[in-house]
Amino acid sequence: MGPGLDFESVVARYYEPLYQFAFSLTHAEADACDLTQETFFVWGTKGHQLRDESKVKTWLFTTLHRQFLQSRRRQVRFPHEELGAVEAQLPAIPPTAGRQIDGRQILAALQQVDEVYRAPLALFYLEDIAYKDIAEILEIPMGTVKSRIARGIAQLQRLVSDKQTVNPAGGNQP
Amino acid sequence: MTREAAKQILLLHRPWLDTPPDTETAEALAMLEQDAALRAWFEQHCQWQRAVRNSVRAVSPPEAFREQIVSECQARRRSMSRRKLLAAATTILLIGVGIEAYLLFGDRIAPEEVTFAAYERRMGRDALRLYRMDLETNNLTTIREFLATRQSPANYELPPGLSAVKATGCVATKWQGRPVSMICFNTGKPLQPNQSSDLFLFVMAEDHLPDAPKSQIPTFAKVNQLNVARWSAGGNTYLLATEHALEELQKNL
Repeated sequence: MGPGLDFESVVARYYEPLYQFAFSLTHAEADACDLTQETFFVWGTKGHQLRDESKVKTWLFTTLHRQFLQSRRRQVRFPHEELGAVEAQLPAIPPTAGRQIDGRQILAALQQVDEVYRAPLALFYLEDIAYKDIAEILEIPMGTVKSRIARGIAQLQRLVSDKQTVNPAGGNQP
Repeated sequence: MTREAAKQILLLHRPWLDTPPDTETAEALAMLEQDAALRAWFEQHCQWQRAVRNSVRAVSPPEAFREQIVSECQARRRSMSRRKLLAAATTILLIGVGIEAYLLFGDRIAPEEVTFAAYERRMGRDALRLYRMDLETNNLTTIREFLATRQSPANYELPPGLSAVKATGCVATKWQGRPVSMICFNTGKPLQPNQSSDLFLFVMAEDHLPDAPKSQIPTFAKVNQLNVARWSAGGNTYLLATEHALEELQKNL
């Protein structure tokens, strides 16, 4: 393990984005903490096998995502769809002009986005991770990553737009 | 490229990235110069993208979470090390028990060599560990008849010295799948509690023992804790064993 890869340095560098990614998947603080904790435990026991220091980030996000999938004991795998195949089905982008975008509304809407889009969307927004690395983390083809992100953004925009229509004041209801 | 196609491409554009756009995105971005409506849409879209990014990045871990990760991982690793240590200790213990068992019963586990010496050792141990006879009687005729019914050697000839010793019973045993008659006697010397016999005569067909003694004159040896006398006569090989002194053994021949 290289000098920059001692356990505490890796934790210091990645615990926050990993927690944010975990939170975007689970929407629960306790679950996000458990997932992050477990990811670092796996790193502590197996991380020394990683020779390429530049892969640490991808390794950690991949591990966290796998832990999440295991914890959910998924039976059904989401179908892989290439962007080209679904392009015609992409929803129209709703206009966002003149709208005050509220962070709480976005977070609330993110919780309602279909689960299949959450991980790609989180990685798209949270971290400056290239599409090929997102594909590696999620273990799906790059075309599928792009189509899921495009669909996820569109769904998120619709959800926020709907919320603004119902509650134009920004959700500050009693 | 149409405006809608450019929108679909720019939808996936992350304005916060420093990396140069790919060819397709660069082409869509170039369209912004000529298409005011697309440019307006893109500005709003970028505003939206940044807002979403800021929202998801605003989520903070609980206080002291970093320290908690480090301490919990260290504790779990220590606990795992203890479990590994325990597993290693258990393994060593099991190996030790295995070695001990091998030393005690190894010759039963490992294939026993077919030699007279091996036969002697095995019969000696059987005498020392005898806990139950197949037949308990003082009647030598009954013993002979019983052994005959068990297809154990019954055509044996007892040495003259044994005629004065009280028989206690017999065991129809086997060695290497071949029958062996074990006739037990009590010399009258003090015995251990639960011990009824202290002199044992083993009889086996001579041709089942490749290097059996050929002479009718007994030879003597010490096998384990026993003094033994061995000879062959009338197609049988005899082994007389006792824990007592050699003189006691010789007296009974």
